[in-house]
Amino acid sequence: MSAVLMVIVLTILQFIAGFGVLSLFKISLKPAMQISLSLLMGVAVFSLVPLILQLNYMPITRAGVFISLVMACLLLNMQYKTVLAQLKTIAKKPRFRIQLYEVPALIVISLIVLISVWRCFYLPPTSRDLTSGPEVIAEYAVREKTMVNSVFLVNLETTNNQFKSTFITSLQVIYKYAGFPFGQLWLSTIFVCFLVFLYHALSLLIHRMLAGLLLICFLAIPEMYAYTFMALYDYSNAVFFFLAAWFLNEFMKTGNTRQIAFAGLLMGIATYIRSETLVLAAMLALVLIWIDRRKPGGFRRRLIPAFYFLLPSAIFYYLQVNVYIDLYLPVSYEIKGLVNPNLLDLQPLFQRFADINTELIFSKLGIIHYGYFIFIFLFVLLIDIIWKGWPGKTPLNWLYAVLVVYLGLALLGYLLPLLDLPNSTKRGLFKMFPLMLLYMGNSTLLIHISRNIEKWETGLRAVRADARR
Amino acid sequence: MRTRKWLLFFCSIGLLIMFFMFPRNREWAGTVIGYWNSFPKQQKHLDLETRMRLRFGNNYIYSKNIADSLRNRTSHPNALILMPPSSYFSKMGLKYHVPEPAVFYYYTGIKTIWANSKHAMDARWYVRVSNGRIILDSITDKRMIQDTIREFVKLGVSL
Repeated sequence: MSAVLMVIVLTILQFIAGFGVLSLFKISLKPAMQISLSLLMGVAVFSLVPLILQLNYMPITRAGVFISLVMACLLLNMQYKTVLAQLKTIAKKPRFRIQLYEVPALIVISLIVLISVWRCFYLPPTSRDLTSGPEVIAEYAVREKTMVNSVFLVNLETTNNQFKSTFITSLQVIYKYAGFPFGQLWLSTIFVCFLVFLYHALSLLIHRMLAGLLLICFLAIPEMYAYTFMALYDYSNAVFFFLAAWFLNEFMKTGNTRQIAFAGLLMGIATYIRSETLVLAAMLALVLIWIDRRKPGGFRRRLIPAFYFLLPSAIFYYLQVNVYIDLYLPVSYEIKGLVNPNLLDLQPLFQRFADINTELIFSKLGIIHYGYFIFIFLFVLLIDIIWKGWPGKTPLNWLYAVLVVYLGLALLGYLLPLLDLPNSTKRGLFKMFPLMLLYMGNSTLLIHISRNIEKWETGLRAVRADARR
Repeated sequence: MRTRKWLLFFCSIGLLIMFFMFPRNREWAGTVIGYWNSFPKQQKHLDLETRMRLRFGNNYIYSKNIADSLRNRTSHPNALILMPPSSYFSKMGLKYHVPEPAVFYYYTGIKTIWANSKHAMDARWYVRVSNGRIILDSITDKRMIQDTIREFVKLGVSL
């Protein structure tokens, strides 16, 4: 019972912290999307709190951590009038009503989610990457009140996981203090909120019956589902990368500077989770320079949004690598030694790209890892192109984001040979799937089908999709 | 309109059935149902030790036994155990994938070292198998540890 209560308390605190951040950026979405995004943002804020305590040489005690969490909530909601106004606006927005035809998909989704949440709670962190790094550090941080603890006195020649991001270590510390010895439940918060966000994002343009089915296709990516209850970096990284791409897309529609700044913050969190995301962020930022190429103002003016987008990632990278790892950890980490010394030899780049395709995607192993999701996406894309030609602006933006991950992972494998194909690249592809899903959510074919279903369902000429486009 | 919503409801069920008829989706659903079926059993075993044993099996159980036996013999907090490679245990008929030192420390709070480490000579204890049982022995002289390390390295040390 106390465990349930603790989850509720943590969730409320995460919502408050996250909502505060969203209010600072004046982000306003559909209520379900706003709430789920607030919680996701809250988890991100929480993941920074024990790190900040550590950076200030403060003991990581239970009281210290929870007081800091409350303080973070208060600080982020200092502009409480704006926050209250935002809350009122959300309360006034039309409520989400479940339609009869959504029920089958929602039941299936709920059952799949329940299993994931239970396993997340019940089983200890399993992957070697975690037990030989963030998890063991978190475990001893709770016992010794510091993240720089006796683990660093153990022989660590077999691993470099002690240098992995403090994102997981920090969250594990919080949840262990909250009474969950295996931590991990933060992953369920991320998972559930992400699904809620995706479902509503898909429902913006396509019929909810199709949205539910697409979400099940996404959930049934076997490898990705496994990482919803086996804590590691890649699922969370994929979530924040997707959210950054979402707000980048929104910025490209509206030109609202706050949205690009918020997209930058989300990309910063993705980089905090996995530092090599910085390369993908830079590749994604190229679109900002490209889209405005015909607008007056010159190259320098076009660089401003890209700067907003990349700055938080650079800061988070610096904080994690150059500050925390270099200055606080008692063992040194030579990042230069990880970079491919023969960058002029491009053969490994082409080889990695070929391997991604032949071994990970278009292979029997690809089906085992990712089910049919990639093929469903390719089918929808092909029909779109055959039927209506080159996709419109928004689907094209999603396609570009997919391409960034698809090509970027090959580039990363070439730059950092340690990012191997069967582990790092396999999980790195997770970032591509929600982007593919949102392409499908904007597909001409599926929107056309949705409009016809709505028309038939209501007996009226459906204009909703047109209006929203 | 209500009839049409019902028709869409059945259509939705039909689409879901179709989706799960694809071989890989059906296989995955089977795995998920397997997770679901293990729920009643797991619900009855909520203590942490059982959950660790269930998840990590022999790797955890043997590691804990080694740690317990060390604690029974010494109270030195920095006692270091030289671990044989997993191949050694296979050769001796035991299924024990030796956790790397960081993971062993996570399981037990005891520091270990592998034979291929440049600090292996610092170990004061080592593990061997005799009559199918894992034995913890103290290292009495330098020659003994050198020989033990050589034997373990010969068997091949890997993650």
